[in-house]
Amino acid sequence: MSRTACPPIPLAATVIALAAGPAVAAPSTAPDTAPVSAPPTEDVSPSPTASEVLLADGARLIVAAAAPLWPGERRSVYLAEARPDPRDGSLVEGWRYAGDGRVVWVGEGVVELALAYPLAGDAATSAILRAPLDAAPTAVWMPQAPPPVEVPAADGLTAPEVQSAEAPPRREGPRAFGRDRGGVALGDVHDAPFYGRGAALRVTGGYAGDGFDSGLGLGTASWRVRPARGPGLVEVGVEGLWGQRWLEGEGTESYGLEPAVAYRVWSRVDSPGVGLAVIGGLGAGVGAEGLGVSGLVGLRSGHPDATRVEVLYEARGGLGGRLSLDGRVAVRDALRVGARSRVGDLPRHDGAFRQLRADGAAVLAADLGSSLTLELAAGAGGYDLLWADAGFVADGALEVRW
Amino acid sequence: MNALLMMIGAAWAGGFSAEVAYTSAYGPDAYGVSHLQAAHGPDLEIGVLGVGGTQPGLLATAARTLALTERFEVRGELQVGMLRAFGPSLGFDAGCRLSLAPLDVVAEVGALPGMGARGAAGVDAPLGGGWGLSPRLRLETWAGDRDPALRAALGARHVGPSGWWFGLEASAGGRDVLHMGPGVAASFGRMR
Repeated sequence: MSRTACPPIPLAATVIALAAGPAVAAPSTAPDTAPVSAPPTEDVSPSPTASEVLLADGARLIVAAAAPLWPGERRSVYLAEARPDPRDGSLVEGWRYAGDGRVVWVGEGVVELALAYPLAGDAATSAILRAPLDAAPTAVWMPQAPPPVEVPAADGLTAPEVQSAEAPPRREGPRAFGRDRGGVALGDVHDAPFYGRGAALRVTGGYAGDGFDSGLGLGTASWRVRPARGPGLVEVGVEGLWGQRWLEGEGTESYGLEPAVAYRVWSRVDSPGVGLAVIGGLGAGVGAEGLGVSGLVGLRSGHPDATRVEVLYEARGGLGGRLSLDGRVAVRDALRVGARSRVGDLPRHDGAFRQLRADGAAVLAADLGSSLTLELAAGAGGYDLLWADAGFVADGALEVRW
Repeated sequence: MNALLMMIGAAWAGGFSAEVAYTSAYGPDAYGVSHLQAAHGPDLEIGVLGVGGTQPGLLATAARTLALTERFEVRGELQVGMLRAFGPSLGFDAGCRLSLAPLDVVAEVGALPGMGARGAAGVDAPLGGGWGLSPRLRLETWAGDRDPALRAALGARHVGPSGWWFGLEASAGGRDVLHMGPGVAASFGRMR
């Protein structure tokens, strides 16, 4: 929805002033790709065809650049480090892809790069920058020479053929949702146990008014499990729903209100992905309309207990359904703030009344301890964007983990 | 309250953007937009979008960017909220960016029932020293679902060494030569 001139760096990127060493590249023709096919050598000094910049902690960043660098250009940035060659154990210096950078400014001996991920301060970035020199090679770090490829010769004998240093770079495929820009796997929820707790009891309650006496009270109690493997989250619970809904009147009364009440048991299962997770669930219960089933489908991007966006659609049989968009930003390890918006027809009225209503709320989630989380949400809702016709929305959740 | 908390969150998280815009098409079609977004994690944005004018609205937004190749990325945004005199609405924005150094080619389309649809295309051209120009051509029915209006816009932006950036944009256009009006937009934020 950006309508004005956006900065060239997409989304959450960071500008890092790299102001040490011979920053500006010498003239070169080095390709803007990972130098994975350079000849093998034990003494691999930074290529004279690339810019080298020193970080404060001594780490060396290399910008493969066809100099001169121009502001606005996008360059691949590599971290120079030495690691054992997986073939013979000898220490080989290599370049590891450390993200995309866009040249913001070039000055006298200084180049400023706006680095996209993974150097933006997330866990994967820190791991890359602090990687010890003798750490095992990772999937994104490669020795500088590929192993020789044996090809049959014309006379029937085999002759070794070394891959040419001029071999074209491998084309990047689409980045999976579960990987960042550097190709580093984001992992899944199993990699990040929430304070080491695997199970939780969760109690929620609240009220969503609509300004017309047909709001909805909702309370749940659930048992939540984060398995060590398999699904990312499994939750079962019971729910009570109380509200009023409008109905067409008879005789002199043109309309009236009747209770909308339901009780149900429900379940929810999340897939383990963090980049993109699928959410599903089923439930059954009894309400004003009799026995009914309910369903839940959704998507989540991000860790469920950290920065994430969740889109959910819940249908509760004849009582109606609701679509919710819930986004939260982890401003601290133990504090998340965000916004939530819901649209739907819960509870569904009987007759020619407006059904769809929306509510919006600010959300605050705080980990009061390693075993306790409190979530609070407050806002307004209704059938129109008129404060006079709006009802209040307030709800909360308390989660106790063990 | 939402905006306040999002601003606090954005300041803590480090990456955020704020945008305020006013667009007039001479006559009943006029609208203002304020969009506050917090960015955190790989390519994830969470925000609140407020629209005023012909068709006011208040929506929560969530966007995700995906780099399909080294030079090509796509972005999708979901918008859920309320429009005045229309009721709840669910919309989207989808865009792409092709990096052809030194230019970036960008295009985006979006639709929000009750508000209208919009599309834009243009380039981001760096000027040096952190400055850049962003010419755009837009076709939109915002905000009031009226006849399509064509607008030409020119934006300038600056990215500072500390990651703070700001942008200004001026535009002109309308439904026809008799119904044209100006538009201005200002945005700022910090990349993280």
